[in-house]
Amino acid sequence: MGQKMDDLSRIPVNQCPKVFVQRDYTNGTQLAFTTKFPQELEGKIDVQTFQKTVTKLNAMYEEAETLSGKTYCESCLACLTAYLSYICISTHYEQMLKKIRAYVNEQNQNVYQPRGLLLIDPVERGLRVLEICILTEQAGGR
Amino acid sequence: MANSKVNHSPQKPGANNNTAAMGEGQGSNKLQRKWEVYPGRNKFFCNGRIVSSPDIQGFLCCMALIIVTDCPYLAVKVHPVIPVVGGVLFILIIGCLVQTTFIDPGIIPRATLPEALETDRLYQLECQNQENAANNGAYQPPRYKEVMIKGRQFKLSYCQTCQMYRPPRASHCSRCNNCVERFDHHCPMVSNCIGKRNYRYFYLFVTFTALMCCYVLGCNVAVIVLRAKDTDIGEAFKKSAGSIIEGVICLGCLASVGGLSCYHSMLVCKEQTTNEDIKGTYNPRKFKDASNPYSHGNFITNCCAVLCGPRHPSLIDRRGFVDPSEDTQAIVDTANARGRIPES
Repeated sequence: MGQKMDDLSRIPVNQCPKVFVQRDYTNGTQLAFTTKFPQELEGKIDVQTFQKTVTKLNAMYEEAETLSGKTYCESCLACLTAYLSYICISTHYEQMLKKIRAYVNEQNQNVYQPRGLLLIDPVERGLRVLEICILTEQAGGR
Repeated sequence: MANSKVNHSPQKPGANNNTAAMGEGQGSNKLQRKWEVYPGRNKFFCNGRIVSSPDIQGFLCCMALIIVTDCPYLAVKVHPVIPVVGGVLFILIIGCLVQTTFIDPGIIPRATLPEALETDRLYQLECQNQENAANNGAYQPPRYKEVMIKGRQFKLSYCQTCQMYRPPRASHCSRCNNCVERFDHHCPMVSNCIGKRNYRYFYLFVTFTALMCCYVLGCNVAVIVLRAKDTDIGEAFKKSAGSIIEGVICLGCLASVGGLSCYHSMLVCKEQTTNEDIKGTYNPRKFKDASNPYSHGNFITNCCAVLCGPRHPSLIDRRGFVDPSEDTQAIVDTANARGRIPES
C-alpha cells in the first residue's frame, strides 16, 4: 500500500510466492473455498475485500451446482437426443464457469493487481485451490 | 537488487518433453498438447477429445457382444414395431456405452509443484507443533487431514501420486493412475473408471442393457410359443434353435446385468458409491453413528441429483498447449525440490 508503480520489483508468475485458499468441505462436496484470511496476505489486502471475493465466488459455484428445473430439463433433453445436445448447447455449469472467469478477471483488474496480487481461476488448478500470486516484493526486502 | 530467485522447478530427465532447458524454449517449434504429457495411464484419442482407461479390450468385447446377439434377431423378426423398439434400445445402449467409456470420469488433475510444496510445508509445521520434542528433524510425508462435513468428522487421505489431499468421495484408481471424483469403481468391461461425470451414463447403460435382455428374451419366448401353436412343440424347437440360443445368452446376461442394475438402483436411491458401500463408510453397524452426509433425505431427490444433476466440466485440460517455460508435471518430486530451495 502506498508504493509507487516505479519501484515495484515484479516477480514472474512462475516463480512468485503463492498463497493457496483451500476447499471448504463443511457442506459436503459442494464447491466452496474457505473464507479464512491467509496470514501471508496481511498488509497487502484488507480482510473484507478478500472475504467479499471468496464469498461471491462461492455463491457463483453454488448457483452452478444447484439442482433446479433447468438442470433437470437439460439432462433429460441430452438423454433424449442421445447426448448430441451437449455439442450444440453449453450447459448451465459451463455458462457459470464463464461468468466466474469474467468475475476473476474483473477482480484482478480492479482490486488485486493494483495491490500487487493475482487471482488464478480455480478451474486452472482443477478446482482444488484458489491460488493467489504475490507479484511484487516490498522495496527494501527483509 | 535482492530479488529472490527461487527455483521451483527441478529438472526431470525422463519427462516426455523435447524442449530445451528453462528460459530457452524459443527454439522448439512444435507445441505439445497437454494430453501428450499427461502423467496418468489414460489413453487419449482424437487429439485429446476422448479419454479412456489403458485397456480398451473390455469395451471392444462389450460392443461385440451387443452387436452379435441383437442384430441377427432384429433382422429375422417380421413385425414392424418390434425391431423399431429393439433398434431404439440398441441405439440408447450404444450411446450410453460410448459416453461411459470415452468421457473423463472426473479425473482430478495432479497438484502443481508449488501446491505440493505448500501442503508438505504445512504438514511439517503441524507435526512440529504437535510433537514438540519427539521426532524433531525427521521428515514425515503427509498422511491425512481431518475435516468436518455436515457436523461429522472425516479423514481426507493424502495421495502420494497426485500429491494432494483427496477430496471427500474421491479415490485413486491404480489402473488409470489418477484420482477420480466420486469414485464408484473401475469397470474393465467399459474400459474406464466410473466416477462423478460418467456414473449416470454407466447406470443408464446397465439398465437399458437389462431391459434389452428382458425384451429380447421375451421376444424369443414369444417366437417359440407362436411357432408351437402352428406346428407341434418339437418342430417349433427345431426351427427356433437360434432363438433358443439367443434366449439362453440373454438369460445369462440378465442374471449379471440385471443384478448389477438392481444394485446400482439401490445405490442411486441411497446416494452412495460402490466404493463406499463395500467399505461400509456409512454403515452404523461398522462405524458408530455413521450416516451419509451426501444424501438429500428422500430417494426421489437422490435419484434426480445423481441422474439429472448438472454435468460437471472436465478438469483436466487435455487440448491446451504445454507452456515450455513451465516444468511439466511428469512427477512432482517434493523431496528433491525441498532440497534445492534455499531455506530463508
